Amino acid sequence: MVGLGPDLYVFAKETMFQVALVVFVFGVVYRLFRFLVFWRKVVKAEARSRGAGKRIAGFFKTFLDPIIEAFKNQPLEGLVGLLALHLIGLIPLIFLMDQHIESFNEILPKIGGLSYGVLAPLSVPLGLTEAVTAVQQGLTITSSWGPLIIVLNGDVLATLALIAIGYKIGVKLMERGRGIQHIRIGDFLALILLAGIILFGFIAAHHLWSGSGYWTALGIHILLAEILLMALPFTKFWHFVFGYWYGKLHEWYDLRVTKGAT
Amino acid sequence: MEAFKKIIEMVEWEAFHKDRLETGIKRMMSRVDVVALHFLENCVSCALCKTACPYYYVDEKYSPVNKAEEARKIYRKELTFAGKILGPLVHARKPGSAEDLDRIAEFAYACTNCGACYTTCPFGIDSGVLINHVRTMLTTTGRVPTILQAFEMAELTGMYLQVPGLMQAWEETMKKAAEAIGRELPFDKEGAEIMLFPTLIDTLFTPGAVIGAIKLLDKMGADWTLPSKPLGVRPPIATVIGDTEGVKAQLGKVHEYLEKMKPKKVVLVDGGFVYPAMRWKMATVLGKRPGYKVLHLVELVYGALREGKLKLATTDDKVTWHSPCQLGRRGGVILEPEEVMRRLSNGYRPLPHHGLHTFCCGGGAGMGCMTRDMHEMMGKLLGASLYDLMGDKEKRFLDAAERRYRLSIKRKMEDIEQSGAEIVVTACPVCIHTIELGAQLYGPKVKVVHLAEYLSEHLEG
Repeated sequence: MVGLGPDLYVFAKETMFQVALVVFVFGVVYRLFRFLVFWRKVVKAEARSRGAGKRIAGFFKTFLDPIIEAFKNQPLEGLVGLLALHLIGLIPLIFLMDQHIESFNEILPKIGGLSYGVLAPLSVPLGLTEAVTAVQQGLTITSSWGPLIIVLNGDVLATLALIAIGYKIGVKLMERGRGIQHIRIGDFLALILLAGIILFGFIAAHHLWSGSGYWTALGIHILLAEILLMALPFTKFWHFVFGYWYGKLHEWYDLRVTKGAT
Repeated sequence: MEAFKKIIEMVEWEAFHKDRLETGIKRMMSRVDVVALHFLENCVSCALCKTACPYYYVDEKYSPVNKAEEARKIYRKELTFAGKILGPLVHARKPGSAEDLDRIAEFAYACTNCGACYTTCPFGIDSGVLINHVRTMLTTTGRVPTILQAFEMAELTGMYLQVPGLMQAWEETMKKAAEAIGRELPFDKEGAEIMLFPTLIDTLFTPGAVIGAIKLLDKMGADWTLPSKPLGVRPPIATVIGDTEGVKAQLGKVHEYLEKMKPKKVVLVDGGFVYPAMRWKMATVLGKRPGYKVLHLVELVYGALREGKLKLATTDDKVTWHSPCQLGRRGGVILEPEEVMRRLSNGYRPLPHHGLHTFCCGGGAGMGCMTRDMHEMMGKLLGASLYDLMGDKEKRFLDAAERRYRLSIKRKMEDIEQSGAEIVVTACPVCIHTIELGAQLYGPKVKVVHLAEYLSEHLEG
């Protein structure tokens, strides 16, 4: 029986991590295998050649165009969904926060002699207060971000991400209310899970629950993150691991490389 | 009349036949390959695609992601564990009633398959492809517009060759073209460098384009030929209703003729779906690369201008180019027409939304055909009223589809107005028809002309 406090933290960090990793690996293998099952060899028409320059430019345009179009046509969605939730929200929060770099460095194996710790110079500090103090004193700014850490710190990034999540939940609820059928229960569960991870991370980071409550909060934070890890291959989160990259590379190959659309 | 009887048997807008639905779903699922799997599974419902679609401006429920959800619901139920076990909890559901099919048909026929959602989606998801999959299922159940089924049937059976009203357009166009170049047309010549490929629809709706193309070939001094009879109504028209077997059959027939004639290049006048079908799908459908190259006329003209084989008299026309989605975005022919237009007119101005991000006119994938005017016109040509073949429900469906179609054109017309152009040049008969209708409904009062006709009016010497 796992209790709260340190017990929960140890369970999350050790036992549950192993389980989550197995489920994640199984899921990734399953999804990739599924892709192979549906692969068919077909004869393709001769490609139209526009030269390497156009193909390279097309590569970058393929990735950038949707972002540009989003900001042009749906600026609020671009600002909240792309910028606050992804680019300056979750991505730096998950991958570049001081404590996360330390944890990932410990967990992840070295690849080609490189450890996750290689990202340390890009790390962002945990709190807004320490970031402001550091900048004011001009002393201990160890991050490559320099004074930008006033924005690029755990508190601000978490706040941005939470605002974005709240906005997305609100918009989706209204759309669902108007009968828009592509909004699904899973969309809300995914957003609630993200919000939970951030909230408990925030509680732990700021020791808002004292004594063993700190370990409880941290344990729940890690457990929820492990649920995310397990859900990755089976839910919309798969876009981050595979869907996004495959989709844009396919589009680039189809439209820019094969058909020569410029 | 036998063919009409067969159409009546195939079209079914009232009842719900479970066996036909199951066959339709099987046909739909058989189209799922690795790319379609990505389209089906990797949507995150961000809806960034919505503003790209001309039908989103009619009603938000017609956003690409919302329409494609119909395909995803069926797919989840058929091909995923979660869908089979949890069903509606994970939005996995097969249509279960006539009302379900009606709703799905409403969504499926609010899409032009223009591909704008594809290039706007952050994940490269082509909702138009999925909606075409849905049409495969619908056609099998009988929820298919009679006019589109009639076109397909006419093309696949070769019936169009026996309809005097249709063939008269072909023969008159060829007669005028022969007069324009002052000699007999070189029909069915084996081993020619170029095979001009006009369709029956080209001669019906844009005869000037066919005559213009012939004048251009003549001026280039090309070794060319053309079929003595049209190789289809607008082959492969089966693609519009998602009939993949029909597409294969018709492209096979076209290829058989072309292989016999042995041209080096096949040059299309139509810049609609005929282009991607012939240029990109033909090899896949046949299972081999054909021995000829498929080009649109504008690609040939572009090459001839660069090589000095063709000279055009420069104008100051305030002219713009509307890129047909199937030729440009889906076909990759974006650079050539813009360059040709730039060379031709000092007054050329691109549309505010052009190239890969051009606005669709709203008429593609059969949308522009489902109007009362078109039914009346086709009824006269076929010598049989298509309206008499239809039940009340289909008539209501068509009326609603026409209302949506008329609204969907507005955005394109605003784009044209912003450009300040007085002439819109394009290369697809449906785009021409749609923009002309848009000019009447919303303005600006522009002249809309096919590229081949416009270029032939500006030949030098």
